Amino acid sequence: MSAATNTTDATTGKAAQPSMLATAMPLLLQLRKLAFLLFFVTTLLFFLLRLAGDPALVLAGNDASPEQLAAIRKQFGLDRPLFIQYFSYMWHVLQFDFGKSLASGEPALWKVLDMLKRTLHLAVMAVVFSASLAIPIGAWLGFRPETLGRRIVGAIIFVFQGVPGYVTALVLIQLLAVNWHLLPSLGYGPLEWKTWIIPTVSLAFFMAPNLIRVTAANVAEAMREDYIRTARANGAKPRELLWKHAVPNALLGTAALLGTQFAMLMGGSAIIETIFSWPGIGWLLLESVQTLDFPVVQAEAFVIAILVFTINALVDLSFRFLDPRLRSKGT
Amino acid sequence: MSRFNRSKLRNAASFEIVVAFTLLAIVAFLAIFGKLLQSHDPMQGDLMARFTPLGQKGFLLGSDHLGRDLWSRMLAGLQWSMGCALTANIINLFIGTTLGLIAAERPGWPRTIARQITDTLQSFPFLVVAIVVVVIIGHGFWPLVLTLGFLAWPIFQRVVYAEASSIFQRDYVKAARIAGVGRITIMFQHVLPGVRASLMVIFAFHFAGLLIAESALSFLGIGAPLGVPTWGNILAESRQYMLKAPWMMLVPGGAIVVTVVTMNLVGDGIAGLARRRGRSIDA
Amino acid sequence: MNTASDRPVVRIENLSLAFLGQDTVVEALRGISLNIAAGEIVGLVGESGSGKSVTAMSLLRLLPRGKTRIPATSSVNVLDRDVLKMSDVELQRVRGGEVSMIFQEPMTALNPVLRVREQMFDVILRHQKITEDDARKLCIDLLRDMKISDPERTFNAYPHELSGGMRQRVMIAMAFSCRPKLIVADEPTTALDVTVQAQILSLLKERATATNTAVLLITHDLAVVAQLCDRVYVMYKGKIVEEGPTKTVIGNPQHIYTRALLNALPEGKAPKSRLETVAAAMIEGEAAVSPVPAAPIQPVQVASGKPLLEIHGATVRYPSRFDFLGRTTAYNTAVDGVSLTINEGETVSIVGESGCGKTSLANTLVGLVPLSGGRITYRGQDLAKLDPATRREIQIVFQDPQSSLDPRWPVWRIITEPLTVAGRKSRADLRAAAGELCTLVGLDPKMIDRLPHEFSGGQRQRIAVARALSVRPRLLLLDEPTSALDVSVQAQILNLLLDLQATYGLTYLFISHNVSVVRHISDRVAVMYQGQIVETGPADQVLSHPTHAYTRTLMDAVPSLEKVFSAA
Repeated sequence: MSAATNTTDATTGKAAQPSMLATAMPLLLQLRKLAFLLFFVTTLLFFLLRLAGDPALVLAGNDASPEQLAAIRKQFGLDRPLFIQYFSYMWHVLQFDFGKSLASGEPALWKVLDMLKRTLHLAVMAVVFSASLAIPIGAWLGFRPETLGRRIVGAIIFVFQGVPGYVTALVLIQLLAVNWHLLPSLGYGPLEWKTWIIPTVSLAFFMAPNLIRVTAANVAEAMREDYIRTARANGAKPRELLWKHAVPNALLGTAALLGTQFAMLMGGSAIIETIFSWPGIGWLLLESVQTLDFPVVQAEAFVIAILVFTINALVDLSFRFLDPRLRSKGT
Repeated sequence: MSRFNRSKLRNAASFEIVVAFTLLAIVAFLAIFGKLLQSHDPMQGDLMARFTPLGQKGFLLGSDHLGRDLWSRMLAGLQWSMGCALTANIINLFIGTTLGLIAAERPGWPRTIARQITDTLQSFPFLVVAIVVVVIIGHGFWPLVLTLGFLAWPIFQRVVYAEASSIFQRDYVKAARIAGVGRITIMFQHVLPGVRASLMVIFAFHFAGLLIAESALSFLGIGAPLGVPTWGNILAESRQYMLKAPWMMLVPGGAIVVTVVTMNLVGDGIAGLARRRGRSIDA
Repeated sequence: MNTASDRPVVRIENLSLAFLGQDTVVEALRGISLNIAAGEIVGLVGESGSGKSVTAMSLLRLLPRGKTRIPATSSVNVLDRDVLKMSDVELQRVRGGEVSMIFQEPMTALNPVLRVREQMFDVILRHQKITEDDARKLCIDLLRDMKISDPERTFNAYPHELSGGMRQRVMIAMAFSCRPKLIVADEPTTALDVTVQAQILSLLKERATATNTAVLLITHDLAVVAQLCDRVYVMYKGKIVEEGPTKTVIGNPQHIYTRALLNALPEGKAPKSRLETVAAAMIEGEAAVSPVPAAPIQPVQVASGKPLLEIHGATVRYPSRFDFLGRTTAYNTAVDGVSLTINEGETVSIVGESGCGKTSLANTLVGLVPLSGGRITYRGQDLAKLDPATRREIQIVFQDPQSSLDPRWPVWRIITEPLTVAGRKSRADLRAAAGELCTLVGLDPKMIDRLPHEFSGGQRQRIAVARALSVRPRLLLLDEPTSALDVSVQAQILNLLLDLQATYGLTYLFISHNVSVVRHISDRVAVMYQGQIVETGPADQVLSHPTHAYTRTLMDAVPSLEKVFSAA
């Protein structure tokens, strides 16, 4: 394909200047996407949850009489046609009002945000731990992937890749808490760092092998690039080749996976949170879905969608930081 | 490195492939003929033989808190989990490939829609979507299969889209278009054979992922119905007896790890074979 | 200008090198010896696989030790010290310090995440004990010496912000930064346009002369060597087959391979004459080679003069910018109002550098890219409304024989793919047709069951030609069909194309950046620049007496053997 020769504006014929709007465009487009997504998910969940159960029944309990049910329906507006309820609901959602939790009566959004900080706490620790393991090991493995020692380490990491986080968690609890009484087996305390260790390690051990393998593969690929040959021809030492030339180029893939893994923990850590009675949003999600606590489920989906979106945006931003080529493209 | 070492390393690579497919054969055999190898009824407990450690009183892998044979329960669970993951994986493969090809081949609104569906699904951690859907549609084999089958396909879509897009840019596809070959023919004769190797690799890795997802949901008590002997359920039951009977946790945990590592090895093996073949073809 | 002193900068003696594969040992170099005196510019010429790049890499011991084997009798002396016996630390001092390298691909040879500044500092501060301030001044001076108009900006730029030519200037500046005794330039201009190539080569020569630095220029292009080098070594299959002063070697080649290589070049041969191929010369032996090509000249096909394809003001635009609603707000214009007529039976060439729009025009002609404006008619009918059968009369051969054949298909399926569209045919019929087509393009019909990777580049291009011929086209678009090939293979493909044209009266639209190939094969030439055709006319007239300023620049930039000898 022939490259561009000259760029002209379709309407004026003059060379187009990038405006403020053009610079902010990618972000605007992304936000538009997010708005669509939130609308779509909220709508879908509204009808899906109605299919799953009757909120009046949840509110009143299973042994409620028909009169009690009717009263509750009237009180919460559940006797109105579904579409009216939907529009009224969406109107409230626009004001970030998801209603009150059917279980506890707190505002659903507050409940979710309250749990969120514990999930973020766990996720940040796990991601930092896993990245600080993965980058050095990955760089070491990718530098000369064919040597015997590295192949053995690679094989061990390969096996670890097949160990689900909850299996690691149970084994660690068995050893560290049940057998040796070194650490508490469950519970969450903001200042009790001992309660953090097993959950963090379990999550990190699940995420790190993948991260190591991706980093190693990217470093190995970077080591085959022409600019490495240039640096070698200019007398660079092996250490400089790796850390100055290969690793900075390989970090793009690591950052992408790290972002994916971090996003995955936004609710995807439900099992670890359940095992450790760590009351985060994953735990809350499970709890609220099972008890049909509709407002909380809705608020939860809303918050998770925004979180995942934000994480992806931050990862994109980090790409621009890591790769100057993406800085000037503006997409 | 001497030449001796290199040939040893290469043998090690093919050794990995042999190990992978041997393990796969064993796992498949146990999954298919497991019923014949069960030494006890997996559901029937013997209250006199509760918490029997490994290898005692005819319990190959010990017994649980109700005196049920763990070996028999593991085999029953393997069949359940493998069946679930395999069916879901085939549905994933089909949906993901179709949407990936549509996105790669048809610019305009079909591409937009195919990518939008994928993006929407990927705006949530998979487990979040799975938890909500599985709880709403209920327990059991088929609800779980359908949940995993209809929600876990984006990985196939992404890879097929990326690879098919690049194949559509190749000159041989252009030559076929110029000769007047139809789009469907191009799709089936040039593009699909081109992505086949990658599809096989993902199929294996994704199989492992689905096994983990299935056992995770069962572990949380929302996947397999309670009481059905699946690995996730057995693992969940073991939590109360960690002090008394650690094997109740180690046996299902180990089984999950071995199966997942097997599938990962198979994926790695296929990827290695494809790379080697690709090198001789493309270079 | 030979300033050779007594002590050679490089003295390679009896260097052999083998690559150790998994079960195979491939001998890349078989006992080569080579000397470079101080300040001398030496060429190392050969086709792909001749071992010329391996020689360059061996000079700095850049090939992985575990995968190569060098016998103890070999020595590579740089300033009287044997590189093969150096420790890693000593090697690191030599690399970039006493000897520096320039590589072929300016796009990938610089680290994309580091600024030019950081990469230049990397070299300078490693080999010289100077302050950052002095290093900075040195860099700016070096870049200014490379005739970079805004050295400050280039100094602070990332590689992707620079054009290919600029990057290669930066590479050369880096190579000169530590006052090396020798610069090894491995195909430094192969990836660049001719006009840029001319600038880069003259800069390289100018700086080398000014600093009395020796240069080892590795290239496949004899014309580049003729223009630049004092002495030349010719490599063939891992051996040096001839060496001597450039003018002697090129003007009076002694070795059969050198002669064959020169005879394979289209430059200076009668237009549309058959070119001698190296393979034939090497097989027939010394006796068969005479200075004048032995093969008879084919009668030139007389053009019927009836217009086959008429292009009127063709414009091709690609959307380049979109607004909030996804509407296009700006276009890149690749082809800008091009008009051209191609008559039945003639060869029309479009010459131009990368980005001039020639490939977009070709893609439009075969219907891959829609026309944004203007009109194209084929045999008087609108191109866009042709019936499929007529449309198939226009076929194309692409540049890269690697990408143009499906790697998973056997040759017979590839060749007969266009036939399957015209109607159902049995497998036996298709295989028979494939066999015939193979014979037609000079391939053994027994090979139709093989896969593309089992063929060489030239053979793959023959397969691509066979596929295009399968539907009996009238008009063949040839999009740089020989650019990816070696000179000797190029000669074979050009011969094949000329033969086919003479036999079947084909019409060719030949797209190329290579002026001497175009001059050889064309009846008429159109010169394309920035999406427009700036000059058109009979080949000899346009290329020998250009009237447009761009054509003149282009022709001046083309390295040529004739120019060197007429200047002498």
